[in-house]
Amino acid sequence: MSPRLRLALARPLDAASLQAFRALFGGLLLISVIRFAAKGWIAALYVDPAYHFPYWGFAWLRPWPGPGMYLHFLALALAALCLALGLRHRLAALACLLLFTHVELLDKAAYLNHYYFVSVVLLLLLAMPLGRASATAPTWALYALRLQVGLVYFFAGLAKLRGDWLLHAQPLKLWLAPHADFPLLGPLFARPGTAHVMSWAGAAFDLGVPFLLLHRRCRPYAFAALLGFHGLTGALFPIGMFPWIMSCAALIFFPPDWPRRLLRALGRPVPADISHVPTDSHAPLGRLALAALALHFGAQLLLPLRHHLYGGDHGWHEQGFRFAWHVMLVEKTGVVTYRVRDPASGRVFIVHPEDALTAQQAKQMAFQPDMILDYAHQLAAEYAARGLPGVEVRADAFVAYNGRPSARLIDPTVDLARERDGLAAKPWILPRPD
Amino acid sequence: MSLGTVLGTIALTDCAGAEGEGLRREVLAHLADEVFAPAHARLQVEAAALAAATALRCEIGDGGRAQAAKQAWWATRAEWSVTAAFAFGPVLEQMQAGPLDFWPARTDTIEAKILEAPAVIDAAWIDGLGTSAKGLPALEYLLFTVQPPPSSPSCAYATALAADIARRCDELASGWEAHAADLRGAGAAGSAYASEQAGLDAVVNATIENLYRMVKDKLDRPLGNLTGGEPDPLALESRFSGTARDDLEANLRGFATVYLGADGEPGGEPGLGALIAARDPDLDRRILAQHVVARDALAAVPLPFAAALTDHRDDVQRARDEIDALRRLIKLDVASLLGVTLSLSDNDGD
Repeated sequence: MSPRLRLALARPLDAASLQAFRALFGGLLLISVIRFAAKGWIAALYVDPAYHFPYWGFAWLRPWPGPGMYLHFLALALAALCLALGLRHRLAALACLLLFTHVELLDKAAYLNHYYFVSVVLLLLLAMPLGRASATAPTWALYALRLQVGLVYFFAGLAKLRGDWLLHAQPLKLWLAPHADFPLLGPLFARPGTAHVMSWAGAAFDLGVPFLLLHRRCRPYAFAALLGFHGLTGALFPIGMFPWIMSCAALIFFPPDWPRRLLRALGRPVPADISHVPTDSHAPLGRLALAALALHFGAQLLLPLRHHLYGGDHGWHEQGFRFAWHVMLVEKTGVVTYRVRDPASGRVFIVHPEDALTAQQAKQMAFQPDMILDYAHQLAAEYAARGLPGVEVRADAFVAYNGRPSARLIDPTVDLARERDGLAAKPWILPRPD
Repeated sequence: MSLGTVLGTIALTDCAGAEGEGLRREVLAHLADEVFAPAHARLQVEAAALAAATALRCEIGDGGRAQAAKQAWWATRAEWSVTAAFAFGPVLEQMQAGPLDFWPARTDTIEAKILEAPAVIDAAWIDGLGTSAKGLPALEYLLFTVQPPPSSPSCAYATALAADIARRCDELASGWEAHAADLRGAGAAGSAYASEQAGLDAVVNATIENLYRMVKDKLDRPLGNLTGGEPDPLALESRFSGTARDDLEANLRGFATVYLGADGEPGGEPGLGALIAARDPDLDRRILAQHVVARDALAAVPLPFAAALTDHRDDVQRARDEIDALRRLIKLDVASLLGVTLSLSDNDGD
């Protein structure tokens, strides 16, 4: 790797915008944790469920018993506060990363793209020298965050370049129509043409906004559009903290000294500007650090594209769908019942998963094939524990997807108890009907 | 496809597809004023008649009075089963479902409470009973199985139960008078529904729940599907009066009034189906067809229903499967088309 590039990446710059990013991000994380607890979601998502849908490779991870999950979230809140204040920021970022990601990995039913974004940003913050006393930060830190934020938008836009989104305006057509009584814009939402216009505009926005934010003259307009976009989607759809997180994260595209300029404009005391740092007065970025960055962003570039390895419509089969910034892309609802057959006696049991799962889990698992498989394995284990080892488990799973008539998702003849989860393609998922 | 073609298509679909902005409001108003509130008013009338008939039966013990009380129970039961298709709002707020319809009835609990009952049973004593000792199934047990003589403790208990049922149905009807205004004015200031969509969500979720209960509790369970065992007639709804099929048919009639409007006939009044027909006529046709198939499959189950569980199991299973197919259409296709938020979901999206 070119020594000049490594030197350029290590060149110190004003850390003000990075410090502001850390403070805002920590603050939003703290608010998210408080909101999560206030809504009763700690109990609803992690204490009450008797069963959790494990991520592949993380089945060993379990919620803490007793009051453990509440203490876990309390610790997360304290770590987020420390991160916001810049107190032992690396330790705080590490604690936030471990505590937050632990929660995120407990149950697939609670997966959200912006939770994943939080984990990824925490990983980057962990590597950055952003303590309260740091007046400067290396250039790579600024560009790493810009690239990370930009990738979210870009891949979200890339994922929208598909027939459902561009030609059929789905799922926006389904989502906008119920908002006919939205103030001012409601009558417009009831018109199908609006969904088409907003679909195209949304795809163009996602694809273009990172580049426009990088351009000095376009930046104010792009940021205003970004605030409008997130404000509108936040008002229309139940997407929680996502608009706030992305709106604050986009501030990283402004010049590194924007907090100083803002304070000056507000007439508040401003810390002294950093003096000019000669380009040759610092060590180049280490090879190991550069390799770590390359590895991180290599993964960030490949993960959103991995669904191409599976073929078909990844919105339907969901292979390669998570951790890929496929945001607001599908409207799916599902119904699943299981037929559990004891081969020894020939007895067949119908199982409605709603009986044993929370409403959130039942809703999510009904249209996600890997979760349908997980629960088939859980049923096999439960029946074995009841003295019926080796049961066959088949699923009658139906899904309505982006306005199409409902159709079978899973091959009803396949014994899911014998199928293993993993990264390989799942042949028991039926192809999407046209 | 050229940009011009795309824009032309958008313009055409926009002109052709825009649904009347007032249709959703019209549907909610019709359902509130012409379906939900009147159904609960009919239930109130029948429950009052049941209370009177039960009291009379326990004063005068001739066969005619006993039959009249049974018929009053059937009539009340039928109206209650219709309202199961829209069990939201007051029935949840007042928590009336348990006290009015706990089943399968626990006969030993009922007998024990009869022995514990005071000489004069008042409303407060009945109110303090657990749900398993009262409501329509408990009264059904007394009227159809025990058939107590007049002036007996069992008859006094039955009379008190019928009065409790009537009081609760009064409260439900009153509750719906007020709640109908909330639903009609969904989205307006002061309404229990923050938006028209929230009102629609409540209606559709109740419809889904009704069909789910029919499939799982009222058919899967007695068929033995949940236990992998033999059919279990003791798990049938209304088993003492032998009207399990009538209950299911009334549940479907309730569905029909929600979907088709108060007259329960296609093409007439603005039920939920009017919204579907405006957005996806093909889906509307599929739902109407599936409703007929499910209704006919149910009607084809030979009576008595309890015997059919074993003697005509395939017929009962077919009825179950067709109702389940109807449930899927509502839960998947309708909920998706109308942007319904399926109930009780925690957490945000994306």
